[in-house]
Amino acid sequence: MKIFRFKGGFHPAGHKELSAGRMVKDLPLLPRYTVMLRQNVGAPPQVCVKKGDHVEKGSCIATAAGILSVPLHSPVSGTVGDMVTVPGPNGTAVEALEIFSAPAEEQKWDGTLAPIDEWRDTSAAILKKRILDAGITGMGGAAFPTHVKLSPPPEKVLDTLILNGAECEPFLTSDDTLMRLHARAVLTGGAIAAKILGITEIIVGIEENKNEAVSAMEQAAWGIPGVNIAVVPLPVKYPQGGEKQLIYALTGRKVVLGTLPMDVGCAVLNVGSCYAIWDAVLNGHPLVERITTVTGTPVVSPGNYRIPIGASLSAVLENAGGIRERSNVGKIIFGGPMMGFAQYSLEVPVSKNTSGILLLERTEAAQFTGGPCLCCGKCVEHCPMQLPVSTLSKACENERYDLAQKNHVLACLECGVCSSVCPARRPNVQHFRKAKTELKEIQWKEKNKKI
Amino acid sequence: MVAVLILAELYAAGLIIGGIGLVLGCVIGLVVLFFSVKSDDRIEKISELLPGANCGGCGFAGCGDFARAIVEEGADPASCVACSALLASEIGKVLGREITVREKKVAVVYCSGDKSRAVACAEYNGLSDCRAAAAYAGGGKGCRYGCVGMGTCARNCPFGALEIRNGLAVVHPELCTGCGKCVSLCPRKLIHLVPASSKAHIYCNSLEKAAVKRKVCKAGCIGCKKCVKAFPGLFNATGGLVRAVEPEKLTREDLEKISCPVHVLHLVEEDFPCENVEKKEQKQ
Repeated sequence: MKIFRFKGGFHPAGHKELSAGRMVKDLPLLPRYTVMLRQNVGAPPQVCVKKGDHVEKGSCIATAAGILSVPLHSPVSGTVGDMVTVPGPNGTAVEALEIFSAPAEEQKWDGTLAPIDEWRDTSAAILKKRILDAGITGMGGAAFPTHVKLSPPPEKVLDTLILNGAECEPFLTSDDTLMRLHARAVLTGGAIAAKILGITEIIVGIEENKNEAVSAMEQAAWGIPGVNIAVVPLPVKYPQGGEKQLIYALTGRKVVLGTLPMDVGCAVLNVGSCYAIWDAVLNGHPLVERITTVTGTPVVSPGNYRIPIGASLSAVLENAGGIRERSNVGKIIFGGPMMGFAQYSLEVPVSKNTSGILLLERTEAAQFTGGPCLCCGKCVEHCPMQLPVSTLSKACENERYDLAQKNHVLACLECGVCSSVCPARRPNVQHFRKAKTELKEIQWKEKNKKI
Repeated sequence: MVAVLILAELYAAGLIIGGIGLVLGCVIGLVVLFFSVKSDDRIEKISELLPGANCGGCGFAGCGDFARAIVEEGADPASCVACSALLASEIGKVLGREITVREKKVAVVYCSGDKSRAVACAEYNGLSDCRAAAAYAGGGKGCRYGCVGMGTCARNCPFGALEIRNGLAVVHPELCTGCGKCVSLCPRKLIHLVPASSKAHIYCNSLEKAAVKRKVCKAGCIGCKKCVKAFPGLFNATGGLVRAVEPEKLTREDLEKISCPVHVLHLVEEDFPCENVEKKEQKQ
């Protein structure tokens, strides 16, 4: 199969050996979980339990509010507590529901969702309903509801389902581990999604450095009838796992500005989401836990852990990793080092899209100085979206958001390549993020003016 | 003979150049006569009188646009917030009518959490811009209501009336014209416009409970309502926060009588909290 190389990108040091190649460990039962309400793009779900209610593991605690919303389930059997405000992973305080766990011997799954063993003979609508009921969102980062992704408008003709197992972020190995250990489940989940979309072509894109995952997926692919699965090793290059970059690398189709993957006949699902689909359909388990990488040099036992959503960062670090020397930790990041968000509080709960918890030492954590642009053009050379980064960052710095818009700041995928290659250590991504929010506000103001 | 010829040539050259100049001059004169844009010279006079800071406080694109609007659209000159009474009367003379100036307003930053008093909860390493910081975790300070202290208001003030002192925005009332540009820029919405005659304010914006506030700031209003009890009509308490309703009626003696325990209620003229605290501590 021909592989297309996308323009731009770079090769950061992988550091994957820290956490790779091990089994998935379980987190011990915690006494208290704080389940963040808004875990998906779109409207937050509506709470449907009240204080003092008894819930089982997987009981629905909040129902979907609107199309772009998914229900939320209890990660544990226990009692519902208060609504509390916790620091969210993106820096702002968010609402969360407190759940106090019952003793370990009383832990059991809620049986509301019955397993669908004969999924091949089940209609697409029922399967889609199951994916919505299980509260599945994209588990790569953006947390876009999966059932919406699997409901393209009828005029769009899809022919390929792409499973994203690239995992190009340094340090993270959660998708790698998932593919190594649960290849069959991941591919079955993919086949279910393909059935819903009515297509038979599945391409799995995996970066070459995950040999074991590639071979495990290739072996498992033989055992899934009804679909053509191609497992494609991709060159190691950041951001190979970006949606647009992955589609181009595997099919040669370009998702131009202002269009979606469905416009070029593709749908992209993260392997984590596929696993969740398999779990929801064949086991009847809603999405209440996920495999997350806990890694970094200050962590005593880095590795991949099965963490229930709502477990707080401090509990995870205490039970799953352990820090060598507290004073040495320079930064704690949710996600990978390139696109993740630095945290300022240990009370932040793990959510459906927390793919990794990364601890960096003081010497490793990059500090931005924001010096003047040297006009060296490195950022322009490496930008995977081919944006005029240096021009853009200067425009944003001088608050010329009109110029930034003209130069397509909205197309920036915030991959962080420009900031890491910049010799002047300019905080380009932060500039673009600010420009995006300011442009949104300007648009909103103009819209309101017209009314 | 030769000399006469040279002289004649010189005169001829002069005449030719002069003639061309005369003709072109006439053309320009005619063009001016027929194509001139008729403008009201009052617009020019008024735009010269206006402050020229283009702050946009009047709602027009700038001082020039506002001058045009005054003359052509009958806009109220008093909507220029930066004009003094003297300037307004001058503009009134140009227009030939009386102008009543609105009460002057100045900005006030309802926060006294500078670096020495607000507790830092994180190390912020991003863009040094309040709006960018507020969109993420809100900078290094623990309080989610107080001044971010990165000076977006100070950088954008057209009159240079705001200053960042020790990580806190401070207004210089004598320079402030009350244009309100900072009010819309502040991501925490803690800059307000108050009458220029205000004498004292409660410099806190946090709606949290007192215990929560004390954890993140040494200068938060604890809602003890000592001021409300002393002057019930002048203060308004909502939850953990008290506001001065009629700040122009407060006097130095009143404040001494109240003696705010956290010193968030203080006079406008001593709006530099770090110095105040030192003075107070020295007294004690």
